[in-house]
Amino acid sequence: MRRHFEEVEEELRNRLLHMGGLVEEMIHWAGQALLERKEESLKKIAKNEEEVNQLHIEIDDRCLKLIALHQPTSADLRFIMACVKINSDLERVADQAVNISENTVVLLAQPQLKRKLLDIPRMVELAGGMLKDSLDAFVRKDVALAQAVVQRDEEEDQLKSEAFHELMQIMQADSSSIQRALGLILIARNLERIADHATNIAEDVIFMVLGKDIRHHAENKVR
Amino acid sequence: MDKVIVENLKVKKGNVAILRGISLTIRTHEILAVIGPAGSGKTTFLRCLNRLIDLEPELKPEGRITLEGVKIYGEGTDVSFLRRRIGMVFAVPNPLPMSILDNLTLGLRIHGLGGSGPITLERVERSLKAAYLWEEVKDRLKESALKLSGGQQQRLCLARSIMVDPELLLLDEPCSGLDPISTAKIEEALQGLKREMSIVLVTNNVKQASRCSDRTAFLLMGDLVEINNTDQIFTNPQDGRTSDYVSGRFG
Repeated sequence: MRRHFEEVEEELRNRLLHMGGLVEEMIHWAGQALLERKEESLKKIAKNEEEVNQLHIEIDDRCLKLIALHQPTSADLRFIMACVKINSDLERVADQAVNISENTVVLLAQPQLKRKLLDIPRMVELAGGMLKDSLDAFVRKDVALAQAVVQRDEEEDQLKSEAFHELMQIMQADSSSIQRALGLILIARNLERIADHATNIAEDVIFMVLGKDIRHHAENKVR
Repeated sequence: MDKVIVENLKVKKGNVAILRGISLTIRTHEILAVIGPAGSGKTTFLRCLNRLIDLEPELKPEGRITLEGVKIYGEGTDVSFLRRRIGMVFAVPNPLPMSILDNLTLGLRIHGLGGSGPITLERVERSLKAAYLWEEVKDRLKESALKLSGGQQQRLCLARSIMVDPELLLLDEPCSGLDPISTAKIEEALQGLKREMSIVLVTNNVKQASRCSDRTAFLLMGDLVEINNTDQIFTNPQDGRTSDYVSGRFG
C-alpha cells in the first residue's frame, strides 16, 4: 500500500509545483509590465490567476482525501500539512501579483516619475527569487536553502520602508506625483507581502523536513 | 461497467432477517469494500455471491444476483464453474497440508486445466508475484505450505485463488490476523490485481477500506445504509450513521 500512497503523494507534489510555476510567471510578468512598461504582459496574469484558483481548490481537495483515506503520520503528515499551507500561500502570492498588475495599469496610463523607481526593481527581483528558492527548497527538502530565504525577508522589509520614505518625500515635494507615488507605495507593499509568503513557505519546508517549528522564533521558546 | 448486479437480496434465518434487501452493483476493475459492525451481514452477503451460502441450508437467499447478466441462482448454474469464476480468500489462512506448489496447482487440477508443465509453472510464478510472495518462496516451492508464516500462508491463499484467473475475487477479512507488513503486502497486491478482476473486500478495519478501495458499501443490521466512492464515504458521507461508523463513534 506504501507504493500506492507514494504515487498519490507524488501527484500532489507535482500539482503544487505546477501551481508554483504559474505563480512565479505571474510575478515575472507583473515586474516586466511595471519596470519595462510592457502592458501586454498584464493580460497573461489574469489567465494564470484563473488556473491558480482552480488548483487552490483541487490541491486542498487532494490533501483532504489523502488525510481521510490514508491517515498519514510522521513525515507523511508533515508533508501534507506543508502542502496545505504552501497551497494557501501560493494562492495569496497570485493575488498580490494581480494587485501589482492593477496598480501598474494606473501607473502606465501616466508619464513616469522623474526619479527612478527607487528600489522597486530590486524588490521585484528579491521577492521572485525568494519564492523560487522556497519552492526549490520544498522539492529538494533543502533546509539550508529554506533558511536563506527566511533571512532574506529582512532585506525586503528594509527596502519597503526605504521606498515608503522616499515616496513620501516625492509626494510632499510635488503634489502632481501623489497618484503615481501612491501606486508605487501599494506595489512596494504587495512585493513585501510576496516575500512574507515565500518566507512562510520556507518555514513550512523546515518544519516538513526537520519537524521543527521556527515561526515567530518558536525554537527559542521554552516548551 | 457492471460485473455483478445484486437486486433486493434478502437472507433469513428462521424469522430473523440477516440481509434486508440489498441492491448494489460491483463494477469491473474496482475494489469494493464492504464495511459494517459485527452482525451487519457482511460475510453473509459475500457468501451469497459465490453460493457458499448453499452449505447452510437454514439460510435462504431471495432476490437476484447476476454475473455478467447470468443469474447466479438460476436453474442449471454450474456451481463449480461459478466458483472458478469467483475466487475467495477467507479470514484464516487455509493452506492444505501439501507443498506450496501443489497448493497452487490444485485448482487447475480440479478444473481439468492441467497442473504441471512449463505453462503451469509460469502461471505459478505470475500468481506468486501478484500476491507479493514469489521472492520469499521461489526456492522452496516443494516445501510444505504449513511451514510458512501466517502472513505468507495468507498470501499463498491469495495466489492460489488467482491461479484459475477468476473474474471476481471475494476477500473476507483477509488481514484480520496479520501484522502491518503482511497487511501492506496484501493491500499492495490487491491494487495490482484489480487490473485483472473485480474485488470485493469485506473488512472490519475501516482504515483498510479507506486506504485501498475504490468504492465502499456500509452495511448495518442487514441494511445497505450507503454505497459511494470511498473518498466520498470518508470525507462527506450522506448518512449520519455512516459518518458515525467511519469516525469510530460506534461499532
